Amino acid sequence: MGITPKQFVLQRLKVVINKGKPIIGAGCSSGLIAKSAELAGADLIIVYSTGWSRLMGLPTIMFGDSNKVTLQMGKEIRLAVKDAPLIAGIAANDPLRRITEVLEEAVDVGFKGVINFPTVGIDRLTMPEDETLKLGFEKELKLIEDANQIGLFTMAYVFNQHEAKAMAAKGVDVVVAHMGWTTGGLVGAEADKVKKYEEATASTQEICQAAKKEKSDVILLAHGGSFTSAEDTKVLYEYTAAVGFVGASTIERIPVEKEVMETVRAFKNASLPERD
Amino acid sequence: MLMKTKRIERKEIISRLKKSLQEKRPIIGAACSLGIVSKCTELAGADLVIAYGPERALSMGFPMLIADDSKFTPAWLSWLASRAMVGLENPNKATIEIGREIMLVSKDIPIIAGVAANDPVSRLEKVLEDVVEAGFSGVINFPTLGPDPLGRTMYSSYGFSFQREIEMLKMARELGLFTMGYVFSPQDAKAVVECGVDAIVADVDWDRVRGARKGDERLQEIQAICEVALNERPDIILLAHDRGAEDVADTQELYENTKIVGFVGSICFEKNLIERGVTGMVRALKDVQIKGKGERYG
Repeated sequence: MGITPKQFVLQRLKVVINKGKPIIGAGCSSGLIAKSAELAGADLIIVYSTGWSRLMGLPTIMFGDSNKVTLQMGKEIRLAVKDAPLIAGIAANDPLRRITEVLEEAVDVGFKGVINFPTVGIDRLTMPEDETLKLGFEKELKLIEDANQIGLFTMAYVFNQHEAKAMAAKGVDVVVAHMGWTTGGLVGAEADKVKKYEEATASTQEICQAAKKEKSDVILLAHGGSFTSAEDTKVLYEYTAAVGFVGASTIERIPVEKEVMETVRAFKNASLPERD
Repeated sequence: MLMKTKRIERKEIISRLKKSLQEKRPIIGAACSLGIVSKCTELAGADLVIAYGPERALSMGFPMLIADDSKFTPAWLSWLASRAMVGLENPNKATIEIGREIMLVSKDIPIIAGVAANDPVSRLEKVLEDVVEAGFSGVINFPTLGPDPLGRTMYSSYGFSFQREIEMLKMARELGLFTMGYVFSPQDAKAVVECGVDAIVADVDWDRVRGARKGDERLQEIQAICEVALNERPDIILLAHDRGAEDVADTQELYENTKIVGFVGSICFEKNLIERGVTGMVRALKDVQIKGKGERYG
């Protein structure tokens, strides 16, 4: 009897945690990026439909039929990845399909797990905290419930303790404290629009506690906002219960922008000799 | 946010390039298949962005084409990729689509289309019409049959030829586009310059020429290409392709020892820099130690 994708992924993650190493989930929107992330030791390769906009040089935006795009990207990325588990960002509010159909298709493509993205949470950052629960978040809870049922590994982005509690109660494997759009680089969120360090740390810890209270073995990660570097994550691990980080813009956008600009500038700044 | 480039007239492009040369700065072209890369190359001061449909195969990370060791750049990689891409999508269609994406995030840099003149299913006139309509400022013969002498003869009986690439450049020139020609030998250089291109891009095997000084026989071929081209037209712009180039020191060396005045980077920019950026960041994130939390998860 084989093991479920959920058991497969959880076994791998527990080895990492027991070694005292952070769990790194890498948002990857092309095979080359996924391949590089895996080579460098990423534990989870996460595919988001929104990622393509980053590679187009635009800010992270949503357009098109999200689940269709994600599954198509998964087909490309699976070619380049050896054995890191692929996680699909699933839009729970897909107007065209039943969510169980989407999940079946994701399994066929080779995804081992899912995460609720795009999530209503991100659109409602300015709302009162518990409002998202009424604005379609229950569809995301149902997504996690359905995915658990068919043995998929499950991750949930949450923006506050209410969402954390609700997701943990559904038995989600990983809660990711979402601190808002990532800052930094050429098209990042403006630093004053996201939670400051102390606030983000406090908010992450609040989310961790709420989730843990509901499900003691839930794995806690954080994402976004002002957490954008290895240094930032040290603070995160020290002051919260988080044991890892999910990076998307942090991994596939900001470092690429930096490398390309530095290198091309160096090539341009070479000088030509005097010619006769 | 969306900037949408306008087509830049050929004369204007040439005068910008000449200005760069007067300032003793090399001309830098970047072959791109992704907006994030083209945008950053423009911000970094590059002179030309070349949209290469086939390059997307590289950013897709085709496992059979990309070596695990990111330092290792197999010879003819981009050419192989161009063939792989034919199996995925028509290269000219891909180039035009990628060009449109790139134009969304470019401001004021000429976008050059890599046109596959030997595309067996499209009419060249129509391809060039689409190229103009999409807003490209120029063309280059890529994917090319160029690097493979065997391929050139092997395919010639089916009507595929380097000559057809020259025809394409001629047609583009008549449409008023800025034209660049990839060349692989002095003979190619002569034929391509004769057809009226504005710049040539010489294939350079950097692993071979690294460290070579003026007069070294390893530079003979490149020097011969430069001579032939300059003889034909003294104002021709001579650039080098990036096959195997690693860093700026390589190009500096070539500028000093040959008449090459610029560089067109493809793998060395897009693929290598994405790899370097992503692996660097993930390694740094992974390299952090967490204390005292492991046991809780048993």
